[in-house]
Amino acid sequence: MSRHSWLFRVTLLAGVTVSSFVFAQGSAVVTGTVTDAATDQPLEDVVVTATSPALQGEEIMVTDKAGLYRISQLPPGTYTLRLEKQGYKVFTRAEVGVRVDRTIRVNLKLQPESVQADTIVVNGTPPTVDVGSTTTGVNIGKDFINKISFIQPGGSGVRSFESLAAAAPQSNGDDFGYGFSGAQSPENLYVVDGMSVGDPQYGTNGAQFPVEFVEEAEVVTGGYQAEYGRATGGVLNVVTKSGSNEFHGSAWINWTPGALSGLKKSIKSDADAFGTQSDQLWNTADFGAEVGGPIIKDKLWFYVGFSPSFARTRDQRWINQFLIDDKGTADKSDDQYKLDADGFIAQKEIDGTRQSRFNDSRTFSYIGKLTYLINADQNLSLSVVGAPTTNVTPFAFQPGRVSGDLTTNNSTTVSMKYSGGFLDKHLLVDANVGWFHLETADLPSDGSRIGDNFGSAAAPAVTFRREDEDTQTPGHGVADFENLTGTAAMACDPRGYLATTTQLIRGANRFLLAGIVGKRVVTFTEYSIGGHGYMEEVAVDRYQARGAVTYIAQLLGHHILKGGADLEVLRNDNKKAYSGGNFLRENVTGSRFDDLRRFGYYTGADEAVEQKYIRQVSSGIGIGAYVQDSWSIMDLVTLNLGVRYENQQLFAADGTLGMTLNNTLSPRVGAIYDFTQQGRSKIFANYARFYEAVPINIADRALSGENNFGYRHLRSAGCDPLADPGSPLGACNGPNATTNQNIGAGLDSPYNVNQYGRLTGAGKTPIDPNLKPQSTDEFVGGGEYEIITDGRIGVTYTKRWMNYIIEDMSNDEGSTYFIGNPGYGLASAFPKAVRDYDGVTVSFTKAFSDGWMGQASYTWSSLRGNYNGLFRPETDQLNPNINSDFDLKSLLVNQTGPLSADNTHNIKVYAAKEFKVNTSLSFVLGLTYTGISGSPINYLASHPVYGADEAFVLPRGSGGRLPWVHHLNAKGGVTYNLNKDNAITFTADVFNFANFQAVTAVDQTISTQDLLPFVAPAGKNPQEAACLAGNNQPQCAGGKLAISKYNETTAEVETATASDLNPNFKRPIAYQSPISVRFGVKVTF
Amino acid sequence: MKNIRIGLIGISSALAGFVLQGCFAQQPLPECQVFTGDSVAGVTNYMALLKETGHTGTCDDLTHMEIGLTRINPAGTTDFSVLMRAQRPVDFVIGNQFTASTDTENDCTDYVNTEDCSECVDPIDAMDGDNVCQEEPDPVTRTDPADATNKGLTLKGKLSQFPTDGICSVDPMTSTFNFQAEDVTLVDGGTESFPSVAQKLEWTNFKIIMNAKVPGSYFTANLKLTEGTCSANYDVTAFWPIVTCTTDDECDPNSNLDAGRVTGSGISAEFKPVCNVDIGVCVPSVDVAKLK
Repeated sequence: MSRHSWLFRVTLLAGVTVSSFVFAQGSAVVTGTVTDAATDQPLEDVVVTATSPALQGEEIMVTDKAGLYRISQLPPGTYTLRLEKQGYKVFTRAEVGVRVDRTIRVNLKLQPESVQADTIVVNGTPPTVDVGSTTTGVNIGKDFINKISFIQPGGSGVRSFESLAAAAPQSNGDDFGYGFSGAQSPENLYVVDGMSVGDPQYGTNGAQFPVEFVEEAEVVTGGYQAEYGRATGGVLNVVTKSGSNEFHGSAWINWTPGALSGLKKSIKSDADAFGTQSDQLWNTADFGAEVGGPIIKDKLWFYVGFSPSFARTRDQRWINQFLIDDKGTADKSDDQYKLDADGFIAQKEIDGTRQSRFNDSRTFSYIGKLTYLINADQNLSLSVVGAPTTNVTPFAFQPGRVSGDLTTNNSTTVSMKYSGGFLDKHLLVDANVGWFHLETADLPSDGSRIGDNFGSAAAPAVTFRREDEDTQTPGHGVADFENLTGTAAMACDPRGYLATTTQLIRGANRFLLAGIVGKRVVTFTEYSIGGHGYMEEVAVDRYQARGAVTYIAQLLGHHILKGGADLEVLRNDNKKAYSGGNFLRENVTGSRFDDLRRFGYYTGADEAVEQKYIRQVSSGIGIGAYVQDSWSIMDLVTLNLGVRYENQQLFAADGTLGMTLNNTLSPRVGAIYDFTQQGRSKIFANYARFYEAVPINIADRALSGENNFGYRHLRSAGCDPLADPGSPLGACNGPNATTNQNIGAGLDSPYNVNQYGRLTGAGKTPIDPNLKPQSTDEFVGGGEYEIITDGRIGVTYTKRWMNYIIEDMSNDEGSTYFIGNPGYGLASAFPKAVRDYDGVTVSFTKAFSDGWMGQASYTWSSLRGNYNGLFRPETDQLNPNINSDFDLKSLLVNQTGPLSADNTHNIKVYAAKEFKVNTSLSFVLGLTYTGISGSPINYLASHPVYGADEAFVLPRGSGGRLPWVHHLNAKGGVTYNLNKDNAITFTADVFNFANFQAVTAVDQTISTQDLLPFVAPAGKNPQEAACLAGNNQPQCAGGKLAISKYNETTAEVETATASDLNPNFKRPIAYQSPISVRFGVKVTF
Repeated sequence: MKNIRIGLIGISSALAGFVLQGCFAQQPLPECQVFTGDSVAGVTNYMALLKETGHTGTCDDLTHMEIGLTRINPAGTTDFSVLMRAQRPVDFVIGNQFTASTDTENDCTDYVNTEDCSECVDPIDAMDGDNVCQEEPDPVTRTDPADATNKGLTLKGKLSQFPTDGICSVDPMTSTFNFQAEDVTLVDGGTESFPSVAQKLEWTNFKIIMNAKVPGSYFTANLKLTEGTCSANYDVTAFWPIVTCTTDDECDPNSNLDAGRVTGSGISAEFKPVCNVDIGVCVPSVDVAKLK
């Protein structure tokens, strides 16, 4: 550049900061000071020009009197800074990595033209420490995605962006995604291109698309500022790729052959003779292409991508015979089960009973994006991204089931973003409007739909549960349901019990061991036939608008003042039904079938109007606003001060107000100290309060009410669905004066309004008038220091605790409910919700440079309390804010202890090394190791009111812990550069190459009976005191237990016995996925 | 088009609702409701305590009465009503009030687990010391010829959708039965003559307490009962659910593992229930109408 030209620019753009040709969208900041290399004095009027392939045009700023420059609103990418000033040598700094939402400080020195080169060391490498914020977490860019073996094959086959959250040191996989710092995944904020894409109904991530569409992902685990709200967990912020002034793109194909995948370990069970091997990887493949470029150079860019993915897994199921230790006694009275080496009942597959099926999943991911430069200071982008997914299980293994299952998930995100700069870019404006739409369905695979009069949707489902306890109506036998003939049938009766037992029903279906009455050679707990059961079609929408104004000012330092407001309107269109209009469920004694799930209402006594389905449209609205100031003092200290305001209202299906959460204020206060003043270090601390945005599921389930009614049908009066399994209702329909049993203690009370049935649905749940919004507080503190080029070490301490939480509760053991804050207000008699998290993370992060990259972290954490979060891990119940946790006081005994996500040790190591053979050929090797210590194991039993697994028999976590789970992945890649812009890459990812098969879940049900919670004497080990130290067998003298059970039949409390314990307790029910190999080819241009 | 319309309903509800409510909205009033569901006590009905405030003629001494209540609300409407089935007229119709003379034959199936006759022995086979059950009178079914299907046993009253000052009101309800004089054939043979009875129950001032503490599980009313020449007025307080008891411990709303109770009694802790041994039912010890 000639001297004349730069003088012209400075004149034209006079001022502390000046406008550039192009103002691009983005949220990252590069700041720093420019000084004279000879005198160390700040230099004013230095023209700093930032360029990047990610940037339309270039960004130009001019340093102020303090030599400071600050370039804001940069899209993430790799930048080059060029410095020019009269009398100084032009200086260029390349390879400045800018990550989304991060502020990096690049202090630079200019060498006077009068000074000889080589006499002054002018500048080092650009720093990578984010000196502008206190956020904890990681940024993941293309280098990480391309070089690290990361996203394991599975699910729908999409290598989707949400898996990137696993890389954050404090993230922890849960049943619905990844939770951070003790919070659960539904508590996170999920953002794509500025648009919130969390499922409005449940709070979980609602969008998916392949990582090829991702420019950069920011995983924020804590310490975030006031601009982020509606989350009590972390933030997953994803920026999709954009076009540029050059045409670039790629095409790829990935294939994971089942033949190279390890066999999943079969699940053994001492309680069920149906052997299964589910979700065995058969074939997974995805391919696609993406391309971006200019439509009009420096004016209009485009980016499009499309990627179909396919996943096929195989399920197998067979029937096992429980082997018998034949003592040879003629009357077979000594017969017992034979045990295998692991202590399980020895089982043998019965020939001819194995069935197989393939489950298929298809997803078609797409993205389209336009970026338009309105003028030099303003631009606009419009993006559409979506991924319709279909999962089909073609048929059910049970012969009596009408069809298999179809689940669909179709998300669409439309986002429009405006960015503008005014007042010489002292004033920056960002605005988003967007629409997130998600359709999900749970339907039969035979094509029938809710409301149809044919197929599985029209057939009632029946679940049989009769157990052996009642010898008058002994439990079901396998031949009640399975088509067993010939040798298969004979295998069920190897010792000829059929000839010795008189306890047979329905022919040769039941084969009791004579020596241990009540045990069967072939056994199971539940069996279902008929139609699909519960069906659901849901469409949820979020309409969102947000705007932010940033003003850059100076007052005792440099300020980035930001204020913003946002609005979101939620809608939940929920259509639900039971196939055939009802659902029959046998009681365990076999005396009746409950038919309590009919949708409908009464118009008079015993005058019910049935509805084939119900459709409810509930809605919600949330507004938010914030102000924050990032105040940088002397390049030494940055103070972040902010406050966020929110208001949320949820509306019932009839349009009336259902719940209001008014006027919350969330303070965010943080400080960062950079003792190097060079952006190479920081010591930071931050306090924040986060308020929950209540997912809209509660508006559908609790605030709108559900109209159900039903009957109970007596077997003794002829209700027998097995009499004609093809038409199971038969006499099990109502109202029927003969077969119906009225409901209640009197059962046939003449004073019941409805004599043959009753309402079973609940009306709208009342709310504590003084309900407080749910919130969590957080303190984070720590430090980072850059120890090598692009590499820094860090240590972080995070503490989180709950304030008020929102749950539904009952003061009368489930008779009536209200929504309140446990421990406060109307719920002051309930214990307060506690979830205390303490975590310390030490980490090393090395961005890709000099041919290698790495990220290693170790997190020690403790998570204690009685509240897991928005879902209940023990039963996987996901009804945010209306889970069963606090429903009854009697459920809360023994609830306090190590929570489900309390994995004390969490190690994550990712590393990649690139080997360049020559300018054309390079190899990359990536290695991943993750190791996580086991979750607590609980002793769960049935609760008399709430049923299976709802009661903690011993204090939470008394059952010890699951083992560590280690995972080793490797990636090998070869890239051949055809020319400057074109390359082809071959990759092979080997997941779990050591083929570890650690147990990832065990059966935590100590009993299916109603065991009373046991409170051990002070100082005593609960397991030993309860005589349960041996897991599932009484350990006290005489084979006795110290715990009691509630006998539902007699309504008496009695001492539990060994036969009340689940023989499968603490047995594995899940193992980690075996080895698998993914091959990939990618062409970039 | 229909989908779009339904979609717009959801969005417009939220926007319009927010505009109407503003940022300082109160939590919504609970909808009026009554209970028919299962409770841990397993009983579906309300127990009404009757306090007589005056009478004419000779009346039975009524102290309590079981009442079944159900709310009906056809889908998509704000049309709320309650259906009520009270014990007194039901007893008249299905025979708990009028009974025929005592059997001489012992039928044990009617007596198992009764307090006085837990083990029933046929009198013919009884030995000294055996507990010989006394047969209860046979129930007699009578009907009102004008209401042959007994539809009149269930009353219907208009219910307000939302409470006013925490109270949901039910329009007055009246039941009338006219039992004719008749000779009834007994199960064990023979006949017995019964007089004609005109019965009328007039329910007024029916107020259901409705708030988050007492979500419809308590109501008060005035009852005028006319039977033949008797006419009595009662103040009625009724609560749900019915928990039978012999001691206060059995009414404890909280579980007590030391006492072997895995759940609470099922009656609201807000009621601070105690056992009314006279009727064998847990009753509130506080003025429930004042709970808010």
